[in-house]
Amino acid sequence: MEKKPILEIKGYSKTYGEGKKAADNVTLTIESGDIYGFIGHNGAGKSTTIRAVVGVLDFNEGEILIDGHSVKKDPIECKKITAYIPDNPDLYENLTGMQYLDFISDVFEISKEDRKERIDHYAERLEIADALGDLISSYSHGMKQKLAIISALIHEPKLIVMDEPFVGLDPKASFILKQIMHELCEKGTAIFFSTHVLDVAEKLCNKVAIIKQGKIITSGTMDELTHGASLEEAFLET
Amino acid sequence: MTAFIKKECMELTRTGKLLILGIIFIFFGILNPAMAKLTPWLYEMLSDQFADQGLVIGEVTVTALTSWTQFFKNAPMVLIVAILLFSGLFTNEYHKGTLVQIVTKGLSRNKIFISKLFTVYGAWTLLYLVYTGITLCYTVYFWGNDGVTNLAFGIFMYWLFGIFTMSSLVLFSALCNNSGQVLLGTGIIFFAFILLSYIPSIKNIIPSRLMDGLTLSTEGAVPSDFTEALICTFILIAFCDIIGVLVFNRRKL
Repeated sequence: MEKKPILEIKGYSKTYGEGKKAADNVTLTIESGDIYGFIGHNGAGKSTTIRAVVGVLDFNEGEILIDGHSVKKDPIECKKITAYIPDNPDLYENLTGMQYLDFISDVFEISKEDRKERIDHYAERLEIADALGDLISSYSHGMKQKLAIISALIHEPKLIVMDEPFVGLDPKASFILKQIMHELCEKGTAIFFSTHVLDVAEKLCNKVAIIKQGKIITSGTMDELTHGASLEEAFLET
Repeated sequence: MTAFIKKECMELTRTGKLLILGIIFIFFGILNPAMAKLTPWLYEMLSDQFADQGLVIGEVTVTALTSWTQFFKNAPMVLIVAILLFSGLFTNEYHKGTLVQIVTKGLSRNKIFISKLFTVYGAWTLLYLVYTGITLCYTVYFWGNDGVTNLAFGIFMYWLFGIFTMSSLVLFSALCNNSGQVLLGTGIIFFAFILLSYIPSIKNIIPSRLMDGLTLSTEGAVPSDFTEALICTFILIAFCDIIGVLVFNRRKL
């Protein structure tokens, strides 16, 4: 499979009103087939960067390109090929799981046949098929997260952006999600996700970036960063 | 956009808002002719009390106009109820964070704003039709509709005033963070125009003039008397909607 850049963050900076720089000259390239871990302490600038990538946060400097499209100039085209899975799945509680997925499918204009096939596939794998007829308000946090994952994958995105995706998932669901992530990457999808859990990043990612006080301290392949040591050690050294 | 409107309608139904509004609009729709029908009986009941105070009540004649007078008196009530129930249309989504998911899925903010605007316009139109239809049916059944002139135009004007109020509500929904602020902003606009209607030099050109539909039957007003108010209202609706879209496009979700 030929690698090509899917997400390019070039000199991205975000300054809040009080002059505080939440992100400072962040530059990263995520290629097709990458599982790219984004690691940092609380408040390091992970979510600020992720929210800018998915187009919900405006930024002051730099450029973010998704498959060549600028997030600023061509946001709708970018969002058509991107999926975002937040740490806290805020869904429409008055809809049933199936109604929500139908609504999202309508937004992406997915045909009836395709949506049925994809919903059935992911719902079976994530073991939520039986609950799709229930109101989302009756779902646990983990079930909502599973629904958010299905709704993110339903349009077969080229880039998946995840903010702490394993929070609230039971061990089996976490394992299945990791399997799905690997399968998608083999097909050429790029995954960019933030996490606090270094073990997860170490086992799952082929590339990692560490962000501290809004600046990228180091980035590269897992081997380049760890030099044979553990990611935890590498992280603590930064 | 159709998908989002469909979702909005589903939520209006599921939260019971549409049901509550439907019951209230039906209640007031029935109340208008009922009040007119009961007026002679009420006067008769109270005639002894009035007589003690030296007041003599003659025969009370009830016509279709009595019912339509009640219609225009109660219309602000149903409009206020609609404002109350629609005040959380955007702010509930800000608090729950649900719009973030939708924005990241490629639905433009313009489409989200316009969908919500159309949902509110549609709900107000549907409910107002129910309110009007019930009053019309009972009024025609009891009294015919003689003596009422330019009724359709009067009804249309109040509907348009409602649309203007809904546009104000949606503008404040884009500007404010909670339902209380939305209600306060919309309420200030609503009552400001009511107060401004007491100023003779401007009362004929502001939107609140559209609430005077009854004068077409009672005071010999003609539709052309409302031209300036209609133009002003259309301009204000467009202003609210355009500013609303611009504000919503820039607001942090």
